[in-house]
Order: sequence, then C-alpha cells, then structure tokens
Amino acid sequence: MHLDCGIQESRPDMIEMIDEAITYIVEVDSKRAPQYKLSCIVKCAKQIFSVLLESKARSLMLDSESSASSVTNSADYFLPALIYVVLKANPTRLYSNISYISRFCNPKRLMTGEGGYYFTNLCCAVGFIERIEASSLNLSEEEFERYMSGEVLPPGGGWEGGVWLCEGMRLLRQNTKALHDLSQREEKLFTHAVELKQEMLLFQGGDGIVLGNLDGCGYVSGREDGERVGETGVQEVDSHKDREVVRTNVFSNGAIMYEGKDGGVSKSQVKSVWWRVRACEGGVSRVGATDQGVVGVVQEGGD
Amino acid sequence: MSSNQGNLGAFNFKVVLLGEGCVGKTSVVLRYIEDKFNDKHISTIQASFLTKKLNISGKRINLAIWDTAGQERFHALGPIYYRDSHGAILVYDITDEDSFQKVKNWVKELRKMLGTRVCVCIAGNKADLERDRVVSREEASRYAESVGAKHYDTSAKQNHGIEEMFLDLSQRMVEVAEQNEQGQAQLRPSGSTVQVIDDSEKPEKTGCCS
Repeated sequence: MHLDCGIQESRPDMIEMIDEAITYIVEVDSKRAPQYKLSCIVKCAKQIFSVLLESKARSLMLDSESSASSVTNSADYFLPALIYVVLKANPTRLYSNISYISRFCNPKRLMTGEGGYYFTNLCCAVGFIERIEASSLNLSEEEFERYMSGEVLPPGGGWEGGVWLCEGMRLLRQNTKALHDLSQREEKLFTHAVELKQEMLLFQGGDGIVLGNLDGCGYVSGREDGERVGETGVQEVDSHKDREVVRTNVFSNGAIMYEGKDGGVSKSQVKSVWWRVRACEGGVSRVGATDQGVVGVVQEGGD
Repeated sequence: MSSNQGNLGAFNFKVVLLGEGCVGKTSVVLRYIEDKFNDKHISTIQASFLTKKLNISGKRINLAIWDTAGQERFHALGPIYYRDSHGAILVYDITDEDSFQKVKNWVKELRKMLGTRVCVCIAGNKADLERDRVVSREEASRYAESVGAKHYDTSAKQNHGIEEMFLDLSQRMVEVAEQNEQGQAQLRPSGSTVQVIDDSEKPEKTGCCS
C-alpha cells in the first residue's frame, strides 16, 4: 500500500482487528450527541493503535533489526493508518458528521482533549483523501491514473484475496466487464439485424417459410391429378418468363418469388389453397427440377 | 484564548510537535512523559496524544501534546493540526540539513497563521550524534532568536535538554495567556458569554441521556 502505514492487511486476525476499527468509525453515524460521536472516533483510534502495535510486534518477530517498538505509536504511523481505515470503511455521511461535531461539540473539550486530537486527525485524513493526488502517494502520474481508472489493481496480499477488494473497486471492475459484454452483444445483434434485413428482402414475397428453391428456374408449374394448377398460378408464373431469373423461392403459403439477374425481385401468388397445402406437405424435398427445368411442387402425377 | 484557564484555575495548553518524519518528534515527547510511566507502559500506550500535568510556581498547567505526521505528503494538513494551539515545538535532526529547512518553513507558516500568540521552541534533536552534526548550533540559535523562538539541543536518547525545553515553553505560554487574560478583561467588560455556552450544554446532555 502506498500509504506505508505498516498494517499487514493479509493476515486474517489483522483483518478482524481492522474490521473492529471500521465498525467504530461507521458507528459514528448512528450516535446522536456529538460527544458520543466523538467517543466512537476515539475508540476507533485506540483500535488502530492496537492494530499498529500488533503489526509491529509481528514484524519485530520476523525482523529483529526494526527500530524500537515505542516509535510505532507515533502520528507518523497513525495518520496513514487512519486514512487507510477511513478509505476501507467509507463511513456514511462522514462529512456531515464531521461538520456536526465541529459545530455542536463544546469547543473547549473538542480542541484540547484526546477526543479533539483524534477528531483533528480524522479531519486531516479526510482532508488528505479530498486532495489525494499522484505525488502524495509517491506514484507517477500515469500509475496514479491507472489506479484511479481501475485499469490495474493495487498489489499486495490482501487485495489479491478478493475478500478485501474494496467494494467500489469490485463494482468498477464488474461494470467494466458488463459494459464490455454489452457492447459485444450489441455488435452481434447489429450483425444479426443486418442479416435479417437481407433475408427479409428475400422473403418479401411471402411470410411463410421457404419450402425450397432452385437456381436458374424460370417458372413454377404443377399439376393436380394430372391437370395444370389453376391458371392464375401458371399465368403469373409465365409473366416471369421474360425475366432472366437466377433463383426461385417457393414459400409454404403459396408465394413464389423470383430473383432476377438484375437484382430485382418479383413475386407471384398461387391462389389455390390446395396448392398451398400441397406445397406444405410437399416439403423441401418435393421441390425440384423437372426435366424441363421447372420447379415442381406437386407430388402426385408429377411432371 | 479564553479557554486557557479552565476550571479550578488550571491552564490548559495545546502544544503541537512539528517537524519532518524521522527526526524524533515522538521520541522527544515520550522521553518527556516517561517520568510518569515506566518503559513497559510506554510500549503499550499510544504516543501521538499525551498529556502532562505541571505545577510551575503554584500555577497548575495541563499540557496536551499533539504529535503530527511529519511526512512531506501530509504537510498541507498542518493548519488543521496547529489551529488554536498555544505552543509549538519544532523538531529537527542536527545531522540533517533538510529537516532544519523544514523547521524554517514551519516557523514562517506558524507566524503567518497564528502570529505571535503561539510560543515556539526549536529543538535540535539527536544531539548525541554530535560528530555527525551538519547544522551548527550557533546558526540555529541565531535563527531561533530572530524569529522569537528558543533553541534547544535535545537528545531523546540521553534525556538531554527536553525537560528544560518543555518547562520554558510552559512558562512562556503562561505569560502569554496571562497577558491575554488581562487584555481581554479590559476589552470585554462582561466576559460571561463563554460561560453561558458551557452551561447550556449540561442540561442538553441530560436531556439526551434520559
């Protein structure tokens, strides 16, 4: 951590102790009278001192060259630790509570006593957080930017565990991911929409499913018990003969669509219900070329 | 400043410790308070806010000593710390020229913000490291005099100069406070406004508790 507050945040028992300090500072908001709020701050500060002491005791065990333990308790260590706790705790209405205390607490008690001292430190912590910038964290401008934008996560054991990942940071990451997902899906949707539009252009003739199609077919003919299907159909079909058709689509609802070589689409409708039914029953496999190069949709008495 | 003389005629003074990190601010104050506590206690109490009761020629004095974080990054927070303080002890390391420059900055700032109301002591700490000294005692003393401060060579390690420094600071704070009291008594015929505020809090408190 760039505050160098000497808290070993990776240890579970440490986390518990820090949690206790956080609980105290969060409690400030729930108290009504300024002196009670103040006493919460004092409790929080005391807890921070025991955290620092514990941290120091541990590092002393590991590293005997550390300086005298008494120095641990100085403000040099306390203030960064307090800033750390305030950041972790993100207490509700902290600023309002500070203003409230400074306005309504007895100034004599506030400015001289122990409570006043810790309160002042809290003000300092808030002041520091307010105007936090790269230089105050010994970071380069780019590094700071990257941390602030959530692009990179701070190093250190506790942060990697995920448990201690600050809530805001977690949300930030989650949202960034969600946004990324969304933009991908939007892109997908867009390409689908384009595809659909193209298909719709093809389907313009009818709203049924394509039963079948045949490249290069000029017209559709069919027979009903050996007879030609209703004239309409044939006539309609015939009218497309002049066109150089590259593709013929037959739809289940009886629509027939011809795609011309020039890119134009013309359509005809076979009105006979029977035909339609037949067409449906015929299915894709029934649509095929006859020896004359027509699309036959009729099953019985075929061409 | 009317809050100096609290109940029972005791003086309550706020003293801030300022100086760069690692110059021994905390050690100085610990050494000073240590008379009351033994070593074992010291390691378990926090050392950033300490109080000391003094009795100088019959006047009772309560010192509240505020340690501050000395790192450069916290420099901007200084005004919050020394607001309303009666005395300031500026500590530098005699083996570190930079820390003495810092002290000069602090003096300027204090005089600008608090004027002459604040009593200033400059402590050249780590006097036991005489052979590594880079800040000359004469220069420091001369500077201190020029800004109306007192300079002391201190050594928290050898318990040297610290008691005297606090004693002198306390005496000067008493003087200033007494002057203020007189000045205010002349300026303000009825000095009861502060009292009223103080009284009004008590009923309010009982109201909340019930």
